[in-house]
Amino acid sequence: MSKEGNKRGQVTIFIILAIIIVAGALLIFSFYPQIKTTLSGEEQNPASYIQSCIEDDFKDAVNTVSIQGGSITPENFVLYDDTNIEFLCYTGEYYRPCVVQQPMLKQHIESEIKNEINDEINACFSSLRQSYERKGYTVTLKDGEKIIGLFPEKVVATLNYSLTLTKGEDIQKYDSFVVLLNNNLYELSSIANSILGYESLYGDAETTIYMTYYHNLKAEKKPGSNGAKIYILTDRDTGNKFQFAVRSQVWPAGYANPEALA
Amino acid sequence: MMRKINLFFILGILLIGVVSAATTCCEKTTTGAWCQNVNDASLCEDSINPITGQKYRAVSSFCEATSYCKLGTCINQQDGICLSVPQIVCQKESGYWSSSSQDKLPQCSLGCCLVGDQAAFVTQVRCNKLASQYGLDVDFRSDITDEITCLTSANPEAEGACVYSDNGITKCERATRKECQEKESTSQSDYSFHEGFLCSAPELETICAESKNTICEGDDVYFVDTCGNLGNIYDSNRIEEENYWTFIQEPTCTPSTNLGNKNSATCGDCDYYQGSMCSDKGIKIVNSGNYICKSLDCEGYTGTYSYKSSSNPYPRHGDTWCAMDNRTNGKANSPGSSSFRLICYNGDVTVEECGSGESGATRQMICSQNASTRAGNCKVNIWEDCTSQKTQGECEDTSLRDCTWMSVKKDNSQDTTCSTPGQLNLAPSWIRGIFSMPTSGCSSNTYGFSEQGLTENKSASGADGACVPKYSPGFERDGSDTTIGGETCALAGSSCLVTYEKTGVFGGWKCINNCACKTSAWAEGLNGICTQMGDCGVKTNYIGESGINTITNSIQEQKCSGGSKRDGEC
Repeated sequence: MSKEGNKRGQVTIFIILAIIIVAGALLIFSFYPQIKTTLSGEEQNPASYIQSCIEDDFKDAVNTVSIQGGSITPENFVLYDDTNIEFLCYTGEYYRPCVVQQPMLKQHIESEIKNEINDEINACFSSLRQSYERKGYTVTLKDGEKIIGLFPEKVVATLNYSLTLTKGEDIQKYDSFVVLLNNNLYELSSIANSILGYESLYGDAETTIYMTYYHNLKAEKKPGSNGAKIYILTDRDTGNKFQFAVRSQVWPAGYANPEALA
Repeated sequence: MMRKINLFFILGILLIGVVSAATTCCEKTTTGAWCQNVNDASLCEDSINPITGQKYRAVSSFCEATSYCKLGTCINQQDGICLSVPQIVCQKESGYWSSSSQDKLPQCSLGCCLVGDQAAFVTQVRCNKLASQYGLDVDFRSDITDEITCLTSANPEAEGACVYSDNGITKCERATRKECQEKESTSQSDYSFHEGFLCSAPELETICAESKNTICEGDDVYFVDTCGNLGNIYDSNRIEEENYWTFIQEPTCTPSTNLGNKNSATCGDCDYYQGSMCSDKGIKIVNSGNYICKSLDCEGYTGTYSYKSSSNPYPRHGDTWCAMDNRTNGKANSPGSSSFRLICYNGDVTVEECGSGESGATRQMICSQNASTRAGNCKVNIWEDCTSQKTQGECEDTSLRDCTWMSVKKDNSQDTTCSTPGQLNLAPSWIRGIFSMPTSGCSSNTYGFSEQGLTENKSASGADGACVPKYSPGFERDGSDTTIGGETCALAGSSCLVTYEKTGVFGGWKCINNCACKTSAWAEGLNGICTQMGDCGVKTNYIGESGINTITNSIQEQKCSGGSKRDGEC
């Protein structure tokens, strides 16, 4: 009876240990993509290694700027649906159209994504170096320019790192690494620019114009607090989204308060 | 005269001084907004600008008058986009700023950019950028100066069959002449281009043949041949017609009764503007293939729809209409309610609140719809000058204001004193009878607005009705029961003193003057004017909660001087 009890206890301990090991492995895999890449991508070439290493963070950065009005850390924002959304056109006054806050939206988004994944890129290249050194390669890695670009239907990270792998007679040279992400941020931010033009000139923009012209676009205008409007642009085919806030030509309640006009 | 001029001059200077002192232009506010006019200088950012190394500027002036925040044109030289932006905002982002307006800058002048078979009305730089991104040649037409002409100028190149031999097999791709030539230049094979032909044309003797498969291309459903090349637009009646698989042709299957071929089993000539677009057929039935001109109407929508009728049971693609969020049946514009615009596009109904925050909930923006065009739009509620209008025509001039004319009358026919002058009005009826004073035939009085507010007779108000806001606005609350703007309610206030006389020593009380004021019709009529003025009068709010006023408690007792009192009657 007691022997059976001991056996059962051992089995239970083994099961618990197994669960802990699996859970630990899952945690490590999900939080450290570079470790995942190192473990699973021994046979990958450097380009696909970098692609898979950076991809998740790249995607996260693009998603974050897309729902926060083009900024990783919005400064002048409105809270909508538990998200801080940057005002791309803003006036604190009543009656007046807004002042454009971000005239170079595409470049701003590119710069925000670049800053967000900069450390991750460095970590991935460092991990790549270690991976090949472990395999007996002599690795020469030279940092280069990192360029994030929004293009039709894609976001591209061009990493001009120079990498030379030497192992005996075998010499492999790489001058540039390109990471691609299928995303319509370029198209959606271009439409946002057009909306900003209307908002700064007339104090409002007509969403149906854009849906008539772009057949797969869903353009929504939602009310936010204190006179803010939240524009949500969605590509119906891909589900990609870009949302931003505007405060423009707000009408006060009741009769005009003369102090508000000043 | 000179004294008056001097007075105005001095007053003018004083006023300018007051405005200037009150307004500060912040280069950046503490909340991170750029170039904002504020009433309190402490709202301006006081730290060092990391780009210039100097403090952010704050000047007692409107931003338009400052050097750093005045509006000009910001040119994005990489993308060819021009926006009206303050100088500092443009320069902090490394844009090129010019004080000139967009129409005076050649870099910002728009023209027609023809890229492939598409057209866009953009700047030359933007056109070059688009062409390079899509790998196409630039054709910028600066002579086309409007967008409609530009869009209609898009001229797709003629297509045909690009036939080539691959290991002795005759293959084919549908392409333009240029594309076919490019393929030839990068290949060892001989290519021949047959304009207007389909790859499935029997005379071309390619391996590509007709099929029953379809595909979505643009908005339409197309046949595809066995090689995967586009055929003509899907028409099930011509599926076996040799000619339809030989030449590129315009579709002929659209019936006049279904212009967009919505959910048609036979025709793939969809029309987005008529409410259809190519999509997977789902559970719908088509005679051939897996795609259909899916209806974009909002058929599943069950909410409020203003244009509903037996022939129009649900919103059509492109319909926009209005709704309120009242939960009180039939009572529009209740306190707290907002006006909404609903939009049916692509099978989805989206909702836009007219105005947002306080301006939405107080109906400073309202939705106005036109049933004949099935279009609703948010617009500013122009209600402030309603009470100044003296005629129904001026009142209801929709090009100038959003007002409505209300005619509330007080029927004086029961009064015995209405037309007798002065103090004799109060004389007992038997005295008035002796002196043949009129006791009947009193006319009705209509209420209108005068400078004193709501006034009973036309001679005083100059109007035979009251002009009131069509969409009663709401007033801002200051956290208590007081409303900002409540003075508007007082304009519609009216009191009425009802006079009674005793019919004898042991007799009862008889009404002799303003007897109509005792009726519920009179009280409700005046309450109608009052409630239209705003959040005034006896009202229930948008969720159906009653206010603190009721019509009965609005009738107050008046103590009579020198007389006895009985339930407020003298």
